[in-house]
Amino acid sequence: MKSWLAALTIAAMLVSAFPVAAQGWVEARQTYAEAKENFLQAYSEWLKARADYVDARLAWMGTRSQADFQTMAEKARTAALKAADLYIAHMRMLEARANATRGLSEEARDNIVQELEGYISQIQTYRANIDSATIGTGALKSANRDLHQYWLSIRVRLKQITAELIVAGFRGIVERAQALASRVEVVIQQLKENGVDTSDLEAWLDDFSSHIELAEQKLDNAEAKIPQISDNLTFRQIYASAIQHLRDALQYLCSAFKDLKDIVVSLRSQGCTVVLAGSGTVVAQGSGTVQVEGTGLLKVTTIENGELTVSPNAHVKTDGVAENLDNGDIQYTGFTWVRVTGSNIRASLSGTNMWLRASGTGTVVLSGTGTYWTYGENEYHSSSWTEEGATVELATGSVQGVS
Amino acid sequence: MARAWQLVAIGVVVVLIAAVVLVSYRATTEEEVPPELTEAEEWLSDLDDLLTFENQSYDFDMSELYAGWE
Repeated sequence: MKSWLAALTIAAMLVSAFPVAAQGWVEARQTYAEAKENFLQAYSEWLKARADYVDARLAWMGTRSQADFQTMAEKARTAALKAADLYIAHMRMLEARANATRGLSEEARDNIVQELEGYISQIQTYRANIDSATIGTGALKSANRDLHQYWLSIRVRLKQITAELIVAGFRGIVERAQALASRVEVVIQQLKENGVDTSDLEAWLDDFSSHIELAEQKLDNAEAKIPQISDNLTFRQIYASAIQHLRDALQYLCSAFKDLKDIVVSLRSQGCTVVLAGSGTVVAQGSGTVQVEGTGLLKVTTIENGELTVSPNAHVKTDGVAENLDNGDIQYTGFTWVRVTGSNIRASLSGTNMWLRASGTGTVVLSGTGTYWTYGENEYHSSSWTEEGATVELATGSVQGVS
Repeated sequence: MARAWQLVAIGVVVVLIAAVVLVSYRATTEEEVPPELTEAEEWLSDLDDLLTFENQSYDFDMSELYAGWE
């Protein structure tokens, strides 16, 4: 009876805790959907107001009467106000998207929202000028032109922001895939160590890795396009090219997740316990020391002067040289890459010009100089790491000791 | 007449068994896929929608509102 009560209590805690974290994203997605609807509504109203203006202008050109001129000018004012509303609705939609983009760090999101608020404030000023301009003095025409010129000056940047948001969403899902795969890899490794034939599972995992690699290549290509979205004449084509790369990345990601699903379903059908909850990733570049404790994967793709010490239960693949230490730990030197996997392992890494990714569950302490990006289950951060050290909780993506 | 009722009863039982098997199978399949992967599928679907939406072009040009009059 007591165990039932305990189980029920834990279940209730899990049910109540998980949605609280995830709820924020659901609400943000809902807000974005509403902002999108508002934008489409504003677009529809803008098109109608512009069509009304075109009709009024044709009427005035036919008669050249003062009354028709007055009507045309008022229609121009209405259309310009609708254009301002449309520009604002577009930027509100981008703000909502920034808030709903999983994978975008809180720091990057705040910067984007602040930048958009600045643009919105300017548009509101131009809108007020249009609203108060006197017809017949040239003031309305001038106010309309000012709004349009301002829009032309920010539209390329808005395309860049849009692409940045989409790329961040893709980075988030790639890192989510890596985090989940790291947990699966540990289970497969344990099965293998227990003499189970895991060749099929490993083949699926290889397939997953190649799909992720291809997705990342496409993502890199898309990201490289973003700074190129600066030419006022060709920005639309460059943006479209970035979108195409992302479309390709999406295909590879769908395949990668199918691989992952096949592996997990296969493992569970064999009676294996695969825990995916509480998984996250930190990506870091820089120089210094990295202390990892937990379950999952530490992957170093680039390093100079590298030195790594791991607990005896860690599984290591590297091009370096191993040495057994007196306390049972194993030390590696002279390597250019390394992969460490395992359950409840310890790893202490030092080196310069490193690029690394730690995925799974546990903590990572970064000390030195460099930049990191965390991808927790519901939290994302990016910042610098310093000598004082930053402690990353992989599951949540939260960071302590940020300078 | 009695035979007809027997056939109907057998038919009902067969349908019920099939329904139970189907429901049980679906429940098992759904249980096998962890929520983390289902959530990731929703995430991918959201990105797909976003790409489709952002691939459309909208006409923001208002130059004709100040050209050729006043």
